Amino acid sequence: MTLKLIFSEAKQWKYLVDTLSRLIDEASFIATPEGLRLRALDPSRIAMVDFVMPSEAFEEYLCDGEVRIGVNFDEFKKIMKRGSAKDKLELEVSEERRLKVRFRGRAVRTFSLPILELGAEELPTPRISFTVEAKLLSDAVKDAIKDAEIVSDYVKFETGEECLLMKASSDRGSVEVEFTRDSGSLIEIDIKEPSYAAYSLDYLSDMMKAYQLSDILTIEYATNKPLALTFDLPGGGRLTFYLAPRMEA
Amino acid sequence: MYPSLCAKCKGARRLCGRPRCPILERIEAHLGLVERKRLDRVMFGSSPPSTLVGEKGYPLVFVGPNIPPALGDRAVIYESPRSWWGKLSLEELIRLRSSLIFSRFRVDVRRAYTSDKLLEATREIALSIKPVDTEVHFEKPPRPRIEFDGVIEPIGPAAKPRRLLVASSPVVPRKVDQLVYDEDVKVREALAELYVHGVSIYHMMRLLSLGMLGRRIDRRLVPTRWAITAVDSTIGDILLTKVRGFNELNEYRLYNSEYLGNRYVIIMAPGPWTFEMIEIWLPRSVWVKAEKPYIAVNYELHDGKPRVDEVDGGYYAMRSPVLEYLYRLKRQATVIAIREVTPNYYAPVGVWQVRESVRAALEKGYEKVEGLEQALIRVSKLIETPIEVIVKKSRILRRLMYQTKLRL
Repeated sequence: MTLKLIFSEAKQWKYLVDTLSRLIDEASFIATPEGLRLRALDPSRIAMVDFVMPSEAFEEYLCDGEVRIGVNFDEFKKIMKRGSAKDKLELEVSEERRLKVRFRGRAVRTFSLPILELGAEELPTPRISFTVEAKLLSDAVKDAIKDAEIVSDYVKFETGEECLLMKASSDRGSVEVEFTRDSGSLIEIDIKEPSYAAYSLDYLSDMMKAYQLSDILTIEYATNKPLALTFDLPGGGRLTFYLAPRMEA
Repeated sequence: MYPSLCAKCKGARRLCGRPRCPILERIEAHLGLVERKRLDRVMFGSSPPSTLVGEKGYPLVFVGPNIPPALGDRAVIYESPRSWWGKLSLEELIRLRSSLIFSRFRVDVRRAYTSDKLLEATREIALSIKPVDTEVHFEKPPRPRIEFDGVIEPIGPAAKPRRLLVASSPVVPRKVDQLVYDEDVKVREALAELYVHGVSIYHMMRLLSLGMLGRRIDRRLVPTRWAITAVDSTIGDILLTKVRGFNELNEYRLYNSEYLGNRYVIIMAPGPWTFEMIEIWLPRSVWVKAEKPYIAVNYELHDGKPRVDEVDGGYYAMRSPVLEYLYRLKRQATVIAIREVTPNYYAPVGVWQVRESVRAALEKGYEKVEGLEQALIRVSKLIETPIEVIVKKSRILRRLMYQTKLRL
C-alpha cells in the first residue's frame, strides 16, 4: 500500500491542522483513491469535524487502496506550523508506518511522525432537518464571534426578515450583529421558518479559525438543534463542523 | 485605583506603579515586630534546605540560602509546606519565616556557570533533601524584618554574606545528582524523570531556580516565583498527557478543605479533562478593600491551555495536585476548583498554601453527590459566596448545566 500526496500550498494545510487541533486530540485521516477524509468528535461529544478533500485538489495523488493515518494533532500541528507561504506540502506514508511531512521550498525539509493505530469505527454525521441556510463572508462571522465574546460565553442565532442575527448578552452588557444582503456580509439566505438557537463561543471561536481557508462559509441550523458550519475549500474540498446547542434557561 | 487591580496584582506585578506594594508594606509594618532580637554577624544554622532567587533587579538578582537559628532535624520545620499544612497558624508561620536569615548576594542570572563560591555553596544546599549545616559571616548584622509576597513564602531578615561555608554533606538523591550533571536533557524531561522517581516538587523548584536543570545552553538562574509556576505547570502538563487517556469518572464528587482562612471546594463531574479555577476574595480580605468580593476565573478545556490571558501561579498550584490525584485514580474528569479567601487570611504566606490545601482536600476523601444540582446545594453550605454568583461567573458550571451533546 503506498500513499503519496502533494499539495501546492502548505499554508492551507497549516491553517487546517491548526483548526482541527483545537477540537480534537487524535483522529485518523482516511485516504482512498477518491480522496482524503477525516471525521471525528471532540472529547466532550459537543462538536464534530467532517473534512473531505478529493484527489483532484492535490497536485499529485498516489493512493492504491485505503490507508488510515492516525495522528496526534498536537504533534502534527507543531510540524505543520513550520510550513511557510511558498512551500509545497508532501505527505507520504512510509513502509515502517510513519507519516512523512515534507515541505518543498527553499530547502526540502522532511519531518516524520508516528502513525497511531486508532479505532476503525466510522462515525455517522448528525441528522438534522435544518430550517435556516445562509452563506456569509467568513471574516464577518469571525468578527461577530469576537464581538460576542466581549460580553458572554454563548451566542444566540436568530432569523429576521431575510437576515440573520447573532446576539449575546450578560450582566456585562449586550451585543447584536445583523447580517443583511445590503451590508454585503450575507450572500444568500433561505429561511424555512423563524429559528433560534444558542451555541458556545469557546467552540465557535475555535471553529472560526478556519476563516483563513475560505472567504465564504455556510451556516445551517434549526431551533434548538445543532449548527453546521461549512467552509468550501479550493479544489472541491469541504470542512464542516457540527456543534450541539446550549439550552439556556 | 480601580478595585480589582490589587487582586489581579497580588503585590507582584506593580500594577499601581509604586515601587513596593502598599498593602504588603502595611502588613509588614503591622507584623514586622514579631522578632525584635538583635542578630549576630556570624551565624551557625542548618538550612532546611531553603534557597531563594529574587526577582527585583532582574537580570541582576539576589540569590542565597535561608538559614534558621536551628540545627539538624530541628531545622526541617522552617521550610516544610507539607507538614505545615493544617498544623501551623498564620502567626506561627510568620514567626518561623521571620527568623530565617536570607543570606543573599547579587548574581547575573545569565552567569549560571561562573565559579562563584557563594553560588556554589547555595547550590550545594539546594541539592540536599536534609538540613545542611552552614556557617555564615555577614558583612553587617542582619536587621530584623519580614517581607511578604503573593507567591513565595515570607522572607525574613536579609544580609550579604562575606563567607558561606557548608559544614555538613548534603544528602542528594541519586536521580537528582544524575540529572543535575546531565547537561543534554531538556528541563521538561528532567522534571518528568524527577517526578517519576518521587522527588518532591519543592526540591524541583529549588533546582530549577538555581539553574541546575536543563541543557547547558538553557541553564540560568530563575526567580523562585517563576520557578514555582514553571514546575507546577510542567508537572501538570506531563500528568495531563496520561490523564487524557483514562476513562471518564462516572459520578459527581465533592471534596473540600479549609486552612488559614482559605476555603476550598472541588467539584468533579463526569466528562473529559476540563479544569476551572474560581478564586473569590471576600470583602476585607488581603487584596480587596471594596464591599464586593473579587472573583477571578480561569479555565482550560481538553487541550490543557488556560483560556484567560492573565494566568497566575495560583491557577497552576490548584491544577497540579488535581492532575496528580486523577493520575493516581486513573480517571479523567471535569473539575471545578473553588477557593474562597476570607479576611482571616490577613497576610499571604505563599502559593504552597493553595497547593497543599487542594492536595489535603483530595486526600481527605470525597462525598458522592447525585448530580450537579445536589453538588451546588452542598457547595452553597461550604462557602459564603452565594452559589448564583459563582454560577454566573463560571464557564464550566454553566456548560455542564446548559450544553447539550451531539446525538449521532
